[in-house]
Amino acid sequence: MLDVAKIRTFYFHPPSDDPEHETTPEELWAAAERQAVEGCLLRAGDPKAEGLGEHGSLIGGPDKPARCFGFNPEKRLPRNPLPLSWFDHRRAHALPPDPPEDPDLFFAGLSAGCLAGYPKRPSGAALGRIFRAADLTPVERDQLWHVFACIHTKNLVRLLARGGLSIYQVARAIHLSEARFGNVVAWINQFAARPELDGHATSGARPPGDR
Amino acid sequence: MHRPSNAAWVLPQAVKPAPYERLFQERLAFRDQLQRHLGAHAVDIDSGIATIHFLQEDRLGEVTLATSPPLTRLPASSDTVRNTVVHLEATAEILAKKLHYRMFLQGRLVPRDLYDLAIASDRDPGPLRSALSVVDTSDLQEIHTQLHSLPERWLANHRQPLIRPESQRAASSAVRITKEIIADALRSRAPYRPFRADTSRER
Repeated sequence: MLDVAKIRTFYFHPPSDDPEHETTPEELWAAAERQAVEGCLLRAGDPKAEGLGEHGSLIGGPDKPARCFGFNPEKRLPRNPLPLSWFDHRRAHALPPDPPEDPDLFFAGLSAGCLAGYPKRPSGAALGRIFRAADLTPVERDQLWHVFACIHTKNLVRLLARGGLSIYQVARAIHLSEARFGNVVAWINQFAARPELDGHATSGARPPGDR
Repeated sequence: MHRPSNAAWVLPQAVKPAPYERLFQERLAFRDQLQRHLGAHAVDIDSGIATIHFLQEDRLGEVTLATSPPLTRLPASSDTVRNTVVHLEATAEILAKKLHYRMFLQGRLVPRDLYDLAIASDRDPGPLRSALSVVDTSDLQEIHTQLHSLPERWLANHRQPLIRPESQRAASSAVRITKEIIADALRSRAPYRPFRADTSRER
């Protein structure tokens, strides 16, 4: 359940941009309402007439006109992935228990589905290499960004079992591409853990080639 | 009941796809009706699932409408609640939807789902087997891989902790138990079962 009092607090006092802070659902709802008010003002509208911000029930209280979003702000709004060091734990470096039969085929499908029309789009093998690489060219970063822009969540899940990637490799790809899509970041942040907690990898504990 | 919950699932009984497609096509009108008559704060209609947020004592409660046809053969049971026959969703159907829609299609891992699966393995193994049987082998493998990658103490540190779980054993070991359940289900299957093609709804 979302805490409406917190949404109201974050609406008037947005949190500072701290990379180690995981955006809460209440912050996203507050940000969505602020964006709605800003959008209304930019097109010379009247927030009071449209029941937005403090003139709507979400921020102003139950005696104000009902405020209804046609989308879920938790999915729609961009958010930041937690720092890469939070994915530097033993389980995030673990490769899938069963190695995939043909990861290149999976990445070829991803390239065809997400990069259709992209000039010289990468083959399956090339896209797999981009996902596993620690350094990328600007073009490769852009290709990754486009993949994350339109990837279905089920294919994010499949990056592990069918693509043979570790969570750390996916998190690194998200960071390198600077993708901030709500579904992508919400999914990867599930696997983050504060570095001071148990289970973080020591330099010798990682599988070869995982850095 | 093995744990209190503040989330509800509403499951339309029709099994043909047309009503679901109609709901999706007319989602803007549906959203307006909900806002006008029920004061909903957000209506998010996706293929397969609609989520509605209502204000409840200064908190936003969540109601999920499963807008997809049932996954199991017997999705609902006719129970009597306060002298009224109510078609409650069967345990197998609930678990199948958690596995297929939430854990695989949405990639969302939440403690309450893992706890439900863990406790079902102890108290309701039959429906759990039915639920697992309708989830494709490759989807189960992908859920298993996700569970395998969760950090240690994930359950203890989760933002949505369980509300007064009845079984402390299932609550504290839900990740490990769920991983074992899925690993057992995968081991019991033939190794070369072909992948099921995506349905039009998933594409």
